[in-house]
Amino acid sequence: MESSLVTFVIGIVGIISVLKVFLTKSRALKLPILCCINFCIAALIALYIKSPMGAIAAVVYFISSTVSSNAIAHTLGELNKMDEFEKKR
Amino acid sequence: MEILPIVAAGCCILGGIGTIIHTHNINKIIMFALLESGLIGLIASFYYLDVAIISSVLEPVATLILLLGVLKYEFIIKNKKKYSTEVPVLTK
Repeated sequence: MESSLVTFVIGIVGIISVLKVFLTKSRALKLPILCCINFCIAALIALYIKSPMGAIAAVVYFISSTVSSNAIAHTLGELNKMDEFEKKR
Repeated sequence: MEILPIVAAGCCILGGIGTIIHTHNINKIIMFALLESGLIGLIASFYYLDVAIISSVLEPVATLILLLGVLKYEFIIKNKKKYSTEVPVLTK
């Protein structure tokens, strides 16, 4: 690997985020950390593969993983809204 | 020193354990998304780039369908008694 220090730092951030997403209790706090892991993996894919196809794969993975994370966050908000509506009735 | 397979394998292992251990539905789906991200990292680290692109396009579709199912499930569980008392029964 050419840029060894950059990949090492991104890898350390990714491993710490994986441990933290496994250990955090709050449900809403897990989603930004999950998004952080997805960004780390997209950056590692773009740095690991030394061809233009790797850049395309990283871009596609970045977009679709952000869509997935935001869909989970939206469902969590819908569930909280449903709970508040039940309390009002 | 290859960083991407290590991070992706950690994602896969901890995501699998968390999918089994956690009990709430949303927690299970968050851990499943973690497992899928690790899976795509492992696929890309073995240079199967077309497979990685297709699976990363199809991964949010699977998560969306699971989330729609969870939303409908929670809605039915919370409103079951109220439906049986308030909605008029037509076949009486």
